Amino acid sequence: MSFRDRIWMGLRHLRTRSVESALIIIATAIGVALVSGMIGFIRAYDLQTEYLLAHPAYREVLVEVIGAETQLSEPAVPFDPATSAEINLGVSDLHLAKESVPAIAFGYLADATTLSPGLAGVDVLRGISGGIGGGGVAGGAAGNVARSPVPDGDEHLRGAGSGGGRWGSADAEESGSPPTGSRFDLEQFFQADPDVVTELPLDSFAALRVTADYFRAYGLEAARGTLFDDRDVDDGTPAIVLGSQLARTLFPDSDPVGKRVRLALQTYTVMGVLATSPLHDVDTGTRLDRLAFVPNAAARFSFAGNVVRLQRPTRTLRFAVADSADLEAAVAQLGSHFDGEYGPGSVRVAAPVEALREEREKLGRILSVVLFLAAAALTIASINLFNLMLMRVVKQTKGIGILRALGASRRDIFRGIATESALMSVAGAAAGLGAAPIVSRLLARTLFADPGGAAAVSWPFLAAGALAALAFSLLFSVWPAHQAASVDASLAIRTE
Amino acid sequence: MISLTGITRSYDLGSSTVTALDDFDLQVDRGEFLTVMGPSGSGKSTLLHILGILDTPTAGTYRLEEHDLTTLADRELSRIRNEHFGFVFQSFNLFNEFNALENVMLPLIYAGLRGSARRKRAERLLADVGLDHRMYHYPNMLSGGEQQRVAIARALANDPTLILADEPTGNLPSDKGEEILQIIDGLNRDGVTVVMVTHDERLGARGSRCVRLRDGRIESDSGRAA
Ligand SMILES: Nc1ncnc2c1ncn2[C@@H]1O[C@H](COP(=O)(O)OP(=O)(O)OP(=O)(O)O)[C@@H](O)[C@H]1O
Ligand SMILES: [Mg+2]
Repeated sequence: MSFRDRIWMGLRHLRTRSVESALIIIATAIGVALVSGMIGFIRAYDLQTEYLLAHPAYREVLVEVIGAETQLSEPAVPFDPATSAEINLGVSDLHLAKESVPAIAFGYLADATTLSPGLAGVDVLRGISGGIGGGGVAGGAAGNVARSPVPDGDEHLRGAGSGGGRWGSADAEESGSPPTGSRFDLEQFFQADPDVVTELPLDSFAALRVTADYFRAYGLEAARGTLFDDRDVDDGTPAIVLGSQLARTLFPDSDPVGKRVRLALQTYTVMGVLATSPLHDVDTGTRLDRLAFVPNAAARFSFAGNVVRLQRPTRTLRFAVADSADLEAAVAQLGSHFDGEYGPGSVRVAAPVEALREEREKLGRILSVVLFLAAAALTIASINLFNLMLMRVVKQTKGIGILRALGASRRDIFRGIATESALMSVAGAAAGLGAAPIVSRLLARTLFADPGGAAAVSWPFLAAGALAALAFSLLFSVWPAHQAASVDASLAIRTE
Repeated sequence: MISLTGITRSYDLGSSTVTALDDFDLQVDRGEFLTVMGPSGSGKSTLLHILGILDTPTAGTYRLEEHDLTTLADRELSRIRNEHFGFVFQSFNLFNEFNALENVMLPLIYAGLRGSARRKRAERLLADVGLDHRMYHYPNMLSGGEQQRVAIARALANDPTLILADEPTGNLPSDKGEEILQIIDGLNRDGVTVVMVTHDERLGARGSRCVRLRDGRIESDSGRAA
């Protein structure tokens, strides 16, 4: 009996017992989807843990002023260096710590902000231009809140993106920066300059306000143009560096390098475009390829005219080690460095990797419980499936007897039933494999707050899971086939 | 052609033993038309199943030509069933998932016949029983008489030397039964050996020899007497 004939007969049987066959196929599919989805997910989880542990963000040591985090939702407070007793961390602290703490390889600022092109927000600003010109300070908070993806400053200023206040940071410090103390003519300030791009395909996009070491710590290089360096940051150069994907989105058909772009109140020159990076920003979950980078000169003194001004202070200094093995030493050394600078207990020094490890461990435990329960449920389901397969053979008893009378050997019967089961298993496994990534993604989405840059689906492991489940269900078909083959033909024919 | 000696078939039911065939001897010669009669439960079907090697006797020997079938393995026995025996049952026993043509093709499939040769042979067999206009009908679209004719075509698929029929007309009205009997008669005239179980005295008389069973033994054998 040829293979083709076996398949043909098997398909005929499946067709006549379609409901029952469909049930078995569906049960197999669900089983395969769960098993391979889970295995795929476990692999993805491990991969993600690996990815995160290797991520530059987890080679960081953060230095924060104690109590700073409580101000996150409050409007920015104008800083007066003469009267404030607050500790204000800034670029100079970075440089100092880098020089005196040997375990550290990088020190940088990285604050999330949102940039909007063109004159968005200007109409609103017009109404309150007096306020800006007159030294109002309300706008300073927009986009400048540390690592918050949405600017949480004054609602009216949301469209304006970052900067604009008196204590505005680098963004607001355009070359011909708004004169302080005198009335500032917005109309003139925003007069259309034909060389400046004011229209972009995006209404707004996320950006990081960074210092030069950020690029080095994240291993980022310019694919075109250059990256800004410490001098550019210190000078407050209005430069912008674009992630590769963002560059393609903003400038689909031209080279962005050298373009001047009006982003709200500031004209930036595109200095470079980054080479593609597999990394994402762990705080916002955005891929670096989709981000823009602008200089961050927090808490830097600058001299404009005869007035000494201080950039808004930052909340978090970021240091990074080259090798995670140095993290512990770095935390200790940074701790004593800042204790020496500002007095004991004035800043908090912590490595985020600690929290990550804890969280991952907790998640891992939950995961093993879930997997155990799923395995138990699957076992019950497979017993059911097994029973269905067996019942099928029992129902076919008479037919088996007749086939034996027509000349089918026990081996023919075994192969016939096994082929039928295999057809159902393969159909079920195929459907299950199709659904497995969905299961895997669903698990990932429910269990990870931030699936981040790591894939939630690991195809080789999904396939391995499906193969395992397929092997399992094929194994299940061996016993029914064996049962069928050992049917007593004489008895079988007498059954009704 | 066939020689059964000392065949016993008993069923062990734990507390008791049912003996369906009891130290049974029977010779069937080539070309015979043997009818088997007897009351219900006398062992007629059991005998037929043993002749068709669907069932193995508890004791005794079965010789087919020069072969001792009790020594052969399942594959060889299955081949003999496939190539030399043809079964016809009272309840037709066609497969509802296959049409008439496909039902007839089944023994050909097990014989290893393929493609158009297989198909042509099945078509011819159906034509021979007068069903060339019903080839693509499924069993449930056929009348009882037609179904039994398909079953006979199927039994004849591999040119058997022995037809084993267990009350082939039992489920048919007498005129349709007569049609079936005509076909079987014709086969016998062409040299096919026939063993047919029947309850009907008139049909029992149609064979060349009639064996009557009672309680698993031969009560009378017209062939012996003659
Ligand atoms: N599997 C079995 N287990 C126990 N006893 C059985 C089994 N099969 C048949 N028998 C018994 O063997 C005896 C012969 O059965 P068989 O079917 O050969 O009778 P039969 O002559 O064909 O009867 P009928 O005319 O009703 O078809 C009966 O008494 C029956 O009960
Ligand atoms: Mg009977």
